[in-house]
Amino acid sequence: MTTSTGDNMFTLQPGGSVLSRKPKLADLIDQASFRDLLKSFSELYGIGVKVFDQGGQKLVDFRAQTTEYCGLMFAHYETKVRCTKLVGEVKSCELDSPSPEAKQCFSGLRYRVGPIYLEGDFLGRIVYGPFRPETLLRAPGELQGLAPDMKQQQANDLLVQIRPIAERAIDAVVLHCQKVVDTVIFSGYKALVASQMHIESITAAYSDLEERNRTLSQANDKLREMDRLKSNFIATVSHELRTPLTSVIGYSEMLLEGLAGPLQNEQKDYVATIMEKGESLLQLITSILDLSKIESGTFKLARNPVDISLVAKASLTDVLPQARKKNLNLVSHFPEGGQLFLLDEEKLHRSITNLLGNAVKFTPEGGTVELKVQHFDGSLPKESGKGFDPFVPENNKWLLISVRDTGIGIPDDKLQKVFEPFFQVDSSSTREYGGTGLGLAIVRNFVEAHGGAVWATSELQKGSVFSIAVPFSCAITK
Amino acid sequence: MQLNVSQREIALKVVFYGPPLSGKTTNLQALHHLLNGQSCGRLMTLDTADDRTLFFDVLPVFFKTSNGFKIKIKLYTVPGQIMHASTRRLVLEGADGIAFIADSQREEAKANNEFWLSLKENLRANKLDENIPIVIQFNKRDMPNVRSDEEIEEVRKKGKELVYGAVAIRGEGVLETVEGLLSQVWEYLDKKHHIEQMVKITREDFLRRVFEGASKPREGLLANP
Repeated sequence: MTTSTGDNMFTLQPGGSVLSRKPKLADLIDQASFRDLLKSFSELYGIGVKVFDQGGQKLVDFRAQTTEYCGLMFAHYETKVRCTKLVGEVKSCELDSPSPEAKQCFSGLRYRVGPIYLEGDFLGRIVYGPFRPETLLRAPGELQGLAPDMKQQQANDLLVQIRPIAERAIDAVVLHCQKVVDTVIFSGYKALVASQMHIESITAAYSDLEERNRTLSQANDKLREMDRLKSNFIATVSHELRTPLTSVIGYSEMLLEGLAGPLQNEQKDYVATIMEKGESLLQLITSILDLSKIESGTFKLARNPVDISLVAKASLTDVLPQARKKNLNLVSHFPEGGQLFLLDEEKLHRSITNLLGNAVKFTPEGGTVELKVQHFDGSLPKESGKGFDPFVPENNKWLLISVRDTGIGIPDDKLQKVFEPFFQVDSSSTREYGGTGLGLAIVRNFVEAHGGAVWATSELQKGSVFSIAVPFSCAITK
Repeated sequence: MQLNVSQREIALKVVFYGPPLSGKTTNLQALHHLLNGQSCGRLMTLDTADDRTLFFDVLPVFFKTSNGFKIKIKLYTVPGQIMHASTRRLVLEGADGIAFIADSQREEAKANNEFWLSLKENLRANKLDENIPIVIQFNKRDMPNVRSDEEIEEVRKKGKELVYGAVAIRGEGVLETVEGLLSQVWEYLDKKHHIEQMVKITREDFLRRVFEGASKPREGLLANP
């Protein structure tokens, strides 16, 4: 419950909603327009109109024709006193009924006083008049008693200058004006409530959204923390797996080399399989470890002066056995000059080997895999995500390493996704080509850590081109 | 309730709550047509171009007691559409009683339930007393595929809220719903704030003053105002 003792019901809730506020007359009208409306009414019917708000403050005041007659009344002491008293009463009398009330002036003129209500609440009053009733033909005789020196003839002359109005006509006119004002007030109230509610509901919706944002942000922080813990866990487990696996591979190798005595051919085949599968497993674990380091933000570049051509050649050597098995044609182009770059050699080597390995894997027998290393000056294709820098020319110089194959190609809608972790173009359980889906994700992270970009273009059944761009700013100037 | 001692005024707030298109505005429109014009103000509707409630509708009902106390009841509807959740909460603020307007059609059972739960949630959010009077109206009793009278009787028996059936578009059950609610509101406020002693009027007199001169429901009540 809200309790108040003052004029306003929301005294105890100054910041409360518009729904709990009691408006003032002045809040509901545009005062200039309201005055214009009542002025035209006053001019049309030839009667004065005054409007007072609940506190008795005058908002509108138009007089009509009665000024001189009333001036005469005001020129004599006793009539002046009576006039002042009557005006005060008209301004402040109790108005219990919604119908206008009649007030009689000692001068013979009359008033009508109509209340202004909104939802049954009194907002103010309209005072119509004074007007001259049709039946008033002469100034009342008792004026002489009140002001003996007032000239009757003069009073009569001034009175007849005022246009007489029939009581029935004034009642109809006043009723009409009350209805018009009532409509104006209601429309004003509706506009006020609508505009205030817009503000209030938007403020409330904003608070709701803020609250939701806070909850989401907390949930997000929690998820990030869990993600970090997961990456740490994977990094630790991968590391722990790698140690015994290295021993398995090492001892297999020693067995194969006959360090523990000669092996029969069948035994050699078995140990070779153990070693081969062990190395695949090691590669997988290394990939997972790399990715977990990337995700947990703990991986760092170890930059050293590197000749890219040498690194690329080493990668070619890595994939040579598989390429030969499939009878592929390996082609390579390198720039002249042996320019050195400040790069992480191991990560770059693995990146290029990965692209070459994929190209070999997805190219059918007898196909071609081409490795090209070149200097590039200009705007990279939009797939790279690197915009052209119109202001710093050096930012548009790149070392471009591209691997082209004549393989099965990648559909357009999957070209971007191949760089996401665990993504497989063919994710069916019966897929033809193996792999974890981690390789390209790692390549992208390695290359981007160098400030470079990696992207792919492809044509189905014709082949794909994977490109790495390393900023030339990494170059060491001799 | 708002009480202004110096001006001898009491203002009560009643809210029509319920799912979209259950007939909250129709209830208020019917009430506006049925109640006596002397004590019933203009119906203010803040709606969109397609006649959906944007903020609320409000109908004021007011009268003066014989000892000069002014009693005003403001009847509000909330907007039903899901997106206006915050406005619903704003309108509910400071309510003294709630008429939950449910749609009797079977396929609306889920929507009724969701809004019933949201009402309870909003009451908590607005820190309103959990014992605030609530009545339930099953509207659209004239539609096909509605919950049977027996099923509604079951709800009436099992729940603690008063339950009414209605065809608001004809005005049927509208006055009964409001009368049932106002009766409970009066009793509730009297228990809490001794309102009878304050304004010197009994519950029966209060209800008589609100509904005196009310007309009867009729076919086409809202079609031909």
